[in-house]
Amino acid sequence: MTARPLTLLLFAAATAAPAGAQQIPNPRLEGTEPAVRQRLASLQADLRAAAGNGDAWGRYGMALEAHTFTDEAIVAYRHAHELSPRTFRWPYLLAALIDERSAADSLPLYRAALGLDPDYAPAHVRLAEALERTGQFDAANQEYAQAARLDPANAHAHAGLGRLALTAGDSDAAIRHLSRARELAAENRSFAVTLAQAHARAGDRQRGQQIAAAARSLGRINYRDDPIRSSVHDLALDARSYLRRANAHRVHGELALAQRELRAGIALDASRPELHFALAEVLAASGDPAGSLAAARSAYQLHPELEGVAPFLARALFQTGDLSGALAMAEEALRLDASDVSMMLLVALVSAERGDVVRTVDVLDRAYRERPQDPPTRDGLIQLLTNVGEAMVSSGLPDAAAGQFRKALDLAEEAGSPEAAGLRRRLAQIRR
Amino acid sequence: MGTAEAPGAGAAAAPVVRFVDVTAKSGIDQVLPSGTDSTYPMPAVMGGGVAVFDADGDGDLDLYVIAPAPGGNRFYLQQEGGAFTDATAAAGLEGDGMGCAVGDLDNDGDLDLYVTRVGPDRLLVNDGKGVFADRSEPWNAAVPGWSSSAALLDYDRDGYLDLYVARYVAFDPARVCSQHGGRRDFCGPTEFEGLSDVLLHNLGGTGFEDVSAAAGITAVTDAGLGVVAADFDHDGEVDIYVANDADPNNLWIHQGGGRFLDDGVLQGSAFNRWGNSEAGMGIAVGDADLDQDLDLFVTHLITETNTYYRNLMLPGFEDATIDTELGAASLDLTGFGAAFFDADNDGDLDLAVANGAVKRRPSALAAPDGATAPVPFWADYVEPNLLLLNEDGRFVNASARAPWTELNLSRALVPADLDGDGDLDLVIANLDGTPRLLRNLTIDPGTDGAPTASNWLRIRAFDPGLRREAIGARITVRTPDGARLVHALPPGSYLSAGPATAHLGLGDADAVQGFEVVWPDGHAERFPSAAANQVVELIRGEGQPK
Repeated sequence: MTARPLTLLLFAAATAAPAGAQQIPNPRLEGTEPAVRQRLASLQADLRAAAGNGDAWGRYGMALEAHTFTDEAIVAYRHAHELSPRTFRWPYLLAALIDERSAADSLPLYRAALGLDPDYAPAHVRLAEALERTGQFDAANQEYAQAARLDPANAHAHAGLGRLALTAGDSDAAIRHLSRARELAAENRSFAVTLAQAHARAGDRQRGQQIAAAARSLGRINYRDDPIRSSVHDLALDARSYLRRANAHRVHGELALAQRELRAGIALDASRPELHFALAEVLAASGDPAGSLAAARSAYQLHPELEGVAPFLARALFQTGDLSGALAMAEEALRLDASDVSMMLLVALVSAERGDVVRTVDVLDRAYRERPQDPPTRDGLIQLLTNVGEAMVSSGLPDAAAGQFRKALDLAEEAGSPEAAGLRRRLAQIRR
Repeated sequence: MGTAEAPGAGAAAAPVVRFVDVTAKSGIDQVLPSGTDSTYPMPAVMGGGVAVFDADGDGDLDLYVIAPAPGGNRFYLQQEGGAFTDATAAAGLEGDGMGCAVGDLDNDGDLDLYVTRVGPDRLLVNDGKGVFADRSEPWNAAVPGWSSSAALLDYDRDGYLDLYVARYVAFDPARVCSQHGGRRDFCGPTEFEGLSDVLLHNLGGTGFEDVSAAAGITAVTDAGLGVVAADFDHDGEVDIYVANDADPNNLWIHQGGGRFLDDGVLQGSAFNRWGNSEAGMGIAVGDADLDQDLDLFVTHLITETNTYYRNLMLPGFEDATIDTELGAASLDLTGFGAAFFDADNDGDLDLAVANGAVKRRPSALAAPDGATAPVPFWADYVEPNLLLLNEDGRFVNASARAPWTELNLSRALVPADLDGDGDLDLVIANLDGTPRLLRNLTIDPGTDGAPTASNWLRIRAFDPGLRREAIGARITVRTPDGARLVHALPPGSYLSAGPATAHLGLGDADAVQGFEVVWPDGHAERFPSAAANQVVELIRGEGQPK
């Protein structure tokens, strides 16, 4: 699998535009915002004018990385490092990108960077982590220690020392270092759970349990203070780059980092509905329904037809108890997509809540016709048909109720659901 | 040890591990339907289970393949000669599902099926001839919500198998998820609330009682996918390990009396080395470092490595992924089913991992020449599977040749000796593809392709009082190379189940000196020596009490 980055690099090289002896890597710009194209074109023009200028290559690399064109950024940084071998940031930024694919390959680049500026603590931390990932624990320990000397407030340096101490079986040292890391970054769950483990290893399970319990409420976060890399990300001129980074964080459950990226993107350009929508989703997943609702409203106001936003807003309104608002928004969502079964179910739920049996049944029928094969929908329909049927029984409408139970039974039998037997019994009771 | 290629001059004469895809000749030709469509329903990308078990009691292994799409399940009976025939309807095994557990739940001497689903689960009771009847309702087995993997255990030692059901998330099919740029894709677990798992206590082989709350396992609501049950700390009580997707993994340590405590954080198996929870999918369990305890291997998402948790018996584990070199091979892949198994019968455990993305990959992988093209819908998701060979505790990627280079969306993976020739074959479930049967044709170098002469034993721990295999029995085998620990555990890493017989590679050894069995109720017995290359039955009561 290591062939993939190489293939991409070769592809990038093959599609490059000439700049003197070097080829300028050209990213695929379909769908990219004009400001980004303009910026990259301008930097390419600089390169054509001065192809031997390492800093020009580096600036191009930073713009590429900021807009998540990673493969092309690697090519540009490599040229920058070759042409400006005395500049710290080019091998450092290159190392950080290479590190995401191969810690071993990043090591000489980190070392080259630190040879130029040995005082940048985040670089020592990154080198230490790469060394740790490649099993070079003694060397990693030295780099963490150096980072802690240079920047005593660097929580990741102390955490690294603690992790290595734990690996070496020195629980006391692990507790000391990890406690310091936790003091410096109380929001970091990783540090807390490793500290909890260290206490348990040292025989103090009670303390470990206290820390572990407290850590349970912390989100997953891996943010490292690294001004040089942050300055690259801040160069992004488009919402999509922030959205991409946010999505990458979301996939790994790093919701706090996703929020951070999305809020930065919104600060850059508040007119992008997809940023607000993504923020609404992240806030919902983070247990902030009010924030999620507000962000969803913003997204909807900016672009009511953005895919998924109307149904999301309808559900958010329903969950916050605004049934009228939810019903109106669900109907709007159905106007945009008449086959959206989830919105039919929502309309049915609200209608049932309001005692509108006729409408409930009508919408349920539509939902079933639309998507009879979907197990969750089917199970939901069975449940709803049953509820409606019971409501009809209570209202003295046994024939109508039997019709609902018959439909529910048909669905359950078709699905081989164990609920079928119970429905069959209930139907027989109603008919009697 | 083993190699994937022929060794060069001067190399040790390690067996050359070779697997051949024999699906086309097996009679298995039905596609496992995912049920996906333009709405990107999440169950369609997570499903794909398989059970490998002797359904009809004729001595060979049959297959039950479980599909997320309605009516997609298929049951294949193995015939004499090794071919399979579709017997789904005759066996009463139509339906859909996610995964399964297999075991004799009513102690009547045959294997029953528990099928997990998105919706009520199903219990299918075997009549002894391979015909199953749905007993979900009378048994109180219709666990609601999205169930994923399930594990059998007898936590209260009453002789009846209880059931731990891992549950995933409160899936809402209406939730729309998209990638950057707005292109629709499958949702991930963080979009939904996790669900608490369920522990079903077997009431004397007549039904289940939900004891989840009393057991303490409703304390957490995580997105559970893989589950294994075993006595990890050798205290005589069976424990449970659950791989959670994006949530910390749970290590439910049995405190006795049916109470469990999640000790994963303090025992170092909830988070990886870096203190991060990962996208836990499948679990492989086995004594990978040959130190007489059970280690764990958990598969994860692309850009996360799979993680190997070495059991230190402190009690506790450490993330030893780096030492074992198990990280790099998985960094660009999304792992699901996984199994420790001795591919070359040399006495140590190798690994196989089934892969396939759950979101579009950053870039699609190119299929090798001659490989079957993936279903177009999945072109951005398919990935190759992995074979990792154990070389003195380090795992070497041996996946450079077919069938490991084929691109599929693979999920469940079960090692089992399908053809009864003494080595472990593999069954892999592929979404929107046929399940693959990989026959083990490991050879010795310089023998013109003759099967490896490495020896083996299959060990069946049987309790006649219960009329079934003693699931959970811990078996120490004294071999010329030292003691080896195996368990009577059905392999069930991700949505899957397999035979509970233990397989042990013996290398050059043509006999073992004896066995010590700790039965699930704590009683221990010794059994005498046995020659290699046979199925050894360790029958409770026939050994020497220890």
